[in-house]
Amino acid sequence: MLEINELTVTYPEVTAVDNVSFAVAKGEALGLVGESGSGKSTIALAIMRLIDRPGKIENGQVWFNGRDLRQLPECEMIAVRGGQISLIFQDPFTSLNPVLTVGDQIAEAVRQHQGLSRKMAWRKAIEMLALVQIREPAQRIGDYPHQFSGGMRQRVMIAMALACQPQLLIADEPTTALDVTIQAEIIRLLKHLQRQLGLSIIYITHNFGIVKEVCDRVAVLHGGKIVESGPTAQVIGAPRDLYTRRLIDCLKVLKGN
Amino acid sequence: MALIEIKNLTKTFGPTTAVDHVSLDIIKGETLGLVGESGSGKSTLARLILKLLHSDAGTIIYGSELERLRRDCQLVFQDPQTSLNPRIRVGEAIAEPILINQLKPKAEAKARVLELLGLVKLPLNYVRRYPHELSGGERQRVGIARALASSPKFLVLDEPVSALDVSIQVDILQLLKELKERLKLTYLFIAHDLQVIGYMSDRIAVMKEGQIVELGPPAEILATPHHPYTQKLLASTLKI
Repeated sequence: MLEINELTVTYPEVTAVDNVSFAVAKGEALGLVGESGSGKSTIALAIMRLIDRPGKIENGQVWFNGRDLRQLPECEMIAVRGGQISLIFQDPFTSLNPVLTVGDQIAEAVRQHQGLSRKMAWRKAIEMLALVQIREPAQRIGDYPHQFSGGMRQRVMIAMALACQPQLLIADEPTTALDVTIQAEIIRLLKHLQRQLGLSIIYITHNFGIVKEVCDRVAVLHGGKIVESGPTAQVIGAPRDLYTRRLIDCLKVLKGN
Repeated sequence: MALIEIKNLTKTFGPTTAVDHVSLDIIKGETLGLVGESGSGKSTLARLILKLLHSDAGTIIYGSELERLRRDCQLVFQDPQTSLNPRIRVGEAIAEPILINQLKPKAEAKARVLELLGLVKLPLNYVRRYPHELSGGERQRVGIARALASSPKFLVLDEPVSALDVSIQVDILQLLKELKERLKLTYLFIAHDLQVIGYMSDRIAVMKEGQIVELGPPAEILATPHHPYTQKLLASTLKI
């Protein structure tokens, strides 16, 4: 469904993403793992064509359902963003608008992309809150972001991202800002939604624990390059690349064996 | 032998009881791990112990080794990026506590700074560098060197590795273990990550809503947790 081919993204003096190729099939979860500065978030932005100057996509194609997103006119790209591919970010505190109710924010997405009436969009927003397992969605829909906890806000973000039934969700460190018990709940929710909706998900994370829990395949990034990729169990169980092995050894040290 | 004895310690902020009748001994030479989620009261407890906050009720009794509290007890912060002054060179930052506490005359302070850099395994030419020229892990080493400058007996490490990449985390944790042996330190190690806590601690205290809900050796807490909250924390840890 998504195929990235020899993608290179440069900023002045640095190649953030260096000749990266990978594919994501329908219904599949892929993990992009790496430490800070490895280029994982830049890949997400490049897929969405959100790289700002002075950054530049130097080379490569982003095939999505047979079309190269790099060649699409901006007006068609707007329909892809949020409509067919959605992005959720690490920090639910700053990515919601504090002066709009969560209902308004979810409804805005569906009105924009699906042209629903105000009333229908509101109904859809309630449905979405129920989908992400927020209790009493019809009562909570008129609440403002500050009335939700961190984990609940991330659920709202997921509801917004899924409101237009995208085929691909890119989750950029979706639980890093959350407490561990909440993190586990959100990861479980995403896994459940992936199955229920037949979604493809790209998890961008530094946490191999999350990868092991939810990803079918994993690609390890180091210095903008993919140094190793394969089925999750294989990469974690028998890493071939030196850097991957070092990362996994570090986790084993903490685990105590 | 208890280095610090805490009895019925309580601290409230308005309607919130951040620390709620906590009684806890910190034994000389141990690493006591304190684990809990955001808002559980871990950092408030640490600040009460360091007398950076005053308690509402309860007592803290300090062992005779901690006579000069401000020198003998030190704190290492989570974020090495914001806890160092960006306009002060590494050497000056480490020298500051030495000079303020008048531990060494100015002429000898430099030698002590170099000794501290060696202790935390940073190259000696880093004295001339500014914090922005250092990586996150190197900055945390400077934070540790700074805390060690007054030759403390007791260190509070408040989430010292949670802002760092995993591979760097392990390096810093190993350094902290080494320093503890070498300098005969006692640690209160605060973290929200059970694996990190398990790796570091001789005993683990689990904190929830201002109270210590479970206390014991890692083998016990991590293998057969009794309190439902500890069980939930453990079940939430995503391991490889």
